[in-house]
Amino acid sequence: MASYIAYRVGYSALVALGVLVLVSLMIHLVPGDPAELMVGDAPVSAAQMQAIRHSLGLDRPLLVQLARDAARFVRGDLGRSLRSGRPVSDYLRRALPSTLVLAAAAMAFGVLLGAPAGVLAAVYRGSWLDSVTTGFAVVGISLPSFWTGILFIVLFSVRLGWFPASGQGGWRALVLPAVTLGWFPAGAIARLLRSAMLEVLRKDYVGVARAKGLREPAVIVRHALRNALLPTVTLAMVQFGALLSGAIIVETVFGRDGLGRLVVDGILQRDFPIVQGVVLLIALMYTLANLSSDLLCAWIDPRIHYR
Amino acid sequence: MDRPADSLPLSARPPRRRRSAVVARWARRASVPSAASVFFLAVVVLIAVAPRIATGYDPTQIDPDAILSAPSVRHPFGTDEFGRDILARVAFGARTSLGYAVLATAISVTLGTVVGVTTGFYGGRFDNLVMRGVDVLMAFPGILLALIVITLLGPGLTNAMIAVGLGQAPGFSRVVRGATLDVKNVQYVEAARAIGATSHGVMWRHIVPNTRHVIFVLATLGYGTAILLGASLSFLGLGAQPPAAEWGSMLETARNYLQSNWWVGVLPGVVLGATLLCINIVGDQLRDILDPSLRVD
Repeated sequence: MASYIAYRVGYSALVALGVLVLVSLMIHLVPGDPAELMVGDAPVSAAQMQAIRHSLGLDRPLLVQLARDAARFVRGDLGRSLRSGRPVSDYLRRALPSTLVLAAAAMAFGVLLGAPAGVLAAVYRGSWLDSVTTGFAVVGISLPSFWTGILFIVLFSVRLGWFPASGQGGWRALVLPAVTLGWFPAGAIARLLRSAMLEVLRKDYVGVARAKGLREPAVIVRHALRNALLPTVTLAMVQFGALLSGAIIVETVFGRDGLGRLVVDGILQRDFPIVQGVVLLIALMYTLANLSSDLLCAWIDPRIHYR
Repeated sequence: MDRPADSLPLSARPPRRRRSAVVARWARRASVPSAASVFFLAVVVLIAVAPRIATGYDPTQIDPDAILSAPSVRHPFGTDEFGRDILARVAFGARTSLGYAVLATAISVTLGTVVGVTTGFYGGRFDNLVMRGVDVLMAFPGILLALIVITLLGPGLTNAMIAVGLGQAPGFSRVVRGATLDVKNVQYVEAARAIGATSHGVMWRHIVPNTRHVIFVLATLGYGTAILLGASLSFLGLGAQPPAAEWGSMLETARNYLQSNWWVGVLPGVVLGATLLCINIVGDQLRDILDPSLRVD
């Protein structure tokens, strides 16, 4: 187990390093002068242009820049906003908690709705419950979150007035954004758990559990569900990383502060260090989520690290 | 001159399944939802190709006398804040959304196939190196890569779709590589090599045709994702720019009129949602028929 953990951690560190290099490289991958691209049509003097080029490190050889940027990122120095001059890490520190709360609430909604739905659909396979669950899951996966968000606002804040339309403040303001964002993982988890349960319910050990006289709930929860959980745990962890990127859209719909607001404003104002910082942060958290999912799976199912 | 390869009785060509057989299998197993989805998608594609059959209005034609008018016989989907016919904008928006997603899918399928087949076929250090690069690219979930590209190149649907295509390619190449590993040691590949086919010939004539069902399913599901991501980016104001008709940007402007004029946002959203839903239903069914092993759920 220790060697498996070391291998997975080492490999994730390698991927993280690749992410760092790629993000520092991105500014050089585009055709043309990055500094001019960033300034756009804004009137800038030659001296200011030179200052921007210098602050981005564009006046040095490429390899030097890359090494310098990667080293800087590792130290946690993500540069400064081109507009305000304040450190990017300050912006990230203020925006991250709000996004994490949203993603966690969405995940909780997804698991609480998706997991029981998936289990029930498998247990009552072919019934109306199964059809409803499967139908809802496909719809949940397919509908764009910005549209469901709009519909929720019309229905629950404008018509019924149950929840505020803006996503800022208190838990009541969190409900609509979390449900909007959590719809996708709910559908994905329900679908996956349904097919995993269907596979497990055919296994001999489930038959044995029934034959020895266990009541059906015990058979399903203790014998079937525990064995069907593994792929679901993987999916849920990977989904959590994807939720961070999905939050970008949901935060915009509900006008909620967070990484999404930050990155969209950064793009519209051509503030590249801000965008770089957000992308880097989300990619690293996603890598971390994948690593935790691998380790969690190895812990749940010891067969994995013997492979 | 004699032609040693072709004159051999042993044909190294894989047996071809007739196209009609696939269609027949689909028809036999198609459920009501998937048949309805195929029909709906056919209508949407038809409208995307020839938007004029759905509407007589121009999508950018402003009518000050018909601002925000409710759905009626003259304007079945109503009009927007400039008096533009919403049905016309949805119809021409279908052309934008569906067309640009083809660009993204072409990029991801081409790159994914080339990288997946070559890494799977050659293996070794080349495979190892490229796949580690793929792992790095896959650390950027969803629209992240697209956001970086748009920051540097500026907003616009072409840039956005190139970015979406590049973002999907790593995942595709991983699946195609798996499929290549499956077929590369099959007998007809060995036979092709035995009669002197080059590596390039084996990949192009034997491996690609025998992994095409995987590629086809990936392309279908990836196409739906590309439409969704394109609409999402336009919704954020980073894709299609006004006054162009595009589904995502229509929903963005519609946000301001939700309280009083529901049709501005609801009807375009229904068309977008239904299109994505139908692509997913058809894609799922195709996967079940062509390659059940692709089932990830």
